[in-house]
Amino acid sequence: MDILTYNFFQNALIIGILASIACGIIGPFVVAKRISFLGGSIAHSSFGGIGLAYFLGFNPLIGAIIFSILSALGIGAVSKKFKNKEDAIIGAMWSLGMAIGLVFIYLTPGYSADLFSYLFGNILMTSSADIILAIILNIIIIISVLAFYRWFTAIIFDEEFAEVTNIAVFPVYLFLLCLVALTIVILIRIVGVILVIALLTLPAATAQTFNKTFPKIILWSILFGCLFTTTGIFLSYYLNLPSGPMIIFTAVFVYVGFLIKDKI
Amino acid sequence: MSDQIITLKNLSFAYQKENNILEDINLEVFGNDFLGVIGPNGGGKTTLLKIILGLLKPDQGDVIVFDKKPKEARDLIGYVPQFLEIDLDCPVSVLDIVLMGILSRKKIFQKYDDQDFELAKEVLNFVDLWNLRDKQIGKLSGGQRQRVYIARALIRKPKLLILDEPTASIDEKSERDFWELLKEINKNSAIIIVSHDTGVVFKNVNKIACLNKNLYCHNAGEITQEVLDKTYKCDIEILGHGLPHRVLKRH
Repeated sequence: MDILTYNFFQNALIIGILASIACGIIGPFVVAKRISFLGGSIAHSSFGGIGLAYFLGFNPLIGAIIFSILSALGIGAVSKKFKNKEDAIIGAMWSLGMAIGLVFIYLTPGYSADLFSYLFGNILMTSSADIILAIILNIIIIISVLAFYRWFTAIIFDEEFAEVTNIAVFPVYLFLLCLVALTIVILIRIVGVILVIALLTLPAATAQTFNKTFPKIILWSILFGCLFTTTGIFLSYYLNLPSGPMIIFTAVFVYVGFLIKDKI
Repeated sequence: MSDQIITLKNLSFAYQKENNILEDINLEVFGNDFLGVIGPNGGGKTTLLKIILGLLKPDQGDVIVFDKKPKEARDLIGYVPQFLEIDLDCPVSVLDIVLMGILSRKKIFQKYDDQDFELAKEVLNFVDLWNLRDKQIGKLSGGQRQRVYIARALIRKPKLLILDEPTASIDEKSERDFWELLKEINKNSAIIIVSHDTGVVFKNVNKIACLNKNLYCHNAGEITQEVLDKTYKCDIEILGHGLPHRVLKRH
């Protein structure tokens, strides 16, 4: 266990836990509302912001925040306007963000060595700036959910009823999507743009197999998130394989285990 | 209690241009009415409700609900939607759902207080579900779920209860209890119920509206042979296929 004394490894564990808190809180809403693919779309759109940040030379995660929030609002607004085309719109935004990102990176001189880490994550490269950013985003997420928890559950359970009781359904939904976007930004450090959906949804989906109310599911999602990321980091270190996939393997393995247990 | 609470005047609505789903609708509902809206699928029943609830705007005509525009009258209305559309996996308890009925009266960060829980207890006792309050919604039977949605509407202390196809997917015993419950509610509030189950509606309501693009209204309380003939005529026009005969036999 000498490894625990290394700074990079401590950072990895810390960001893993911070990410678990964020996705543990937001993931259950995403799963219950069945918008994982909307989350995937937001994640891939944020790659456009990462590319832009490379091109202009600022912190890629800031670029990711801007693009993910814009795409969350965009998808939310456009899919309300064209309800029956929501699926196609989500797909379009998904690819559009990636395309923008790739163009900017092509235009940026020199080889971007750690670009790969934004696509697939590299938790072992976590800096203290990443940790501070994750803490700030977590605080925003926690306060927002404390304030709007019952509004989120109400629009998730029955949008139409919420509407006829004069709840501002659409603004609340957009706000939820923005929180999904912020969560995704934290997760990008850990598993990268491509693998985000799994970490956003699997802790919650696993927790939902044996819990039936939001508060319990949120609590268990956070615990599962910590389990997945920590186990993944150790596996990554000992097997000398990339951390993102190790975390996803752990998450899928445990989730499938609970699914099977649930069916028996 | 017998004030006029809904007035629809010369109302028309189309989802696609020049293809009216509602045409020249006139309707008056009073404070103690128990109105059944019947008609074939696609006849515009749900659309009519959505207009009264302010979810859709009519292309022509006036809607006045409690002397206000529909959206402004929502605080006086309890709504029980078609519950087939609700996700049964959603991790919320019966009590959570019932409290959603009064969520719009809360500010952000504001928790439900003792008074709210008292209200919830009162309506859940009324629909006989207080002992199931902590159950997740998917664990209940169809009849129980429906009573949850009624409780969620009643916690708002509505002056008008609107139900959309509430008898779909519940068994016969639950259905009988359900109509008893509605009669009880009708003592304090007007009710509009939409259903394609003509026969049962006829037995329980005091006013019938037959809707298939056009609307014809009848007082069920005075269903004499003469009125039945009139209804029958309208039914034949509206339902077209066999149903009216069943209605006639039952009376």
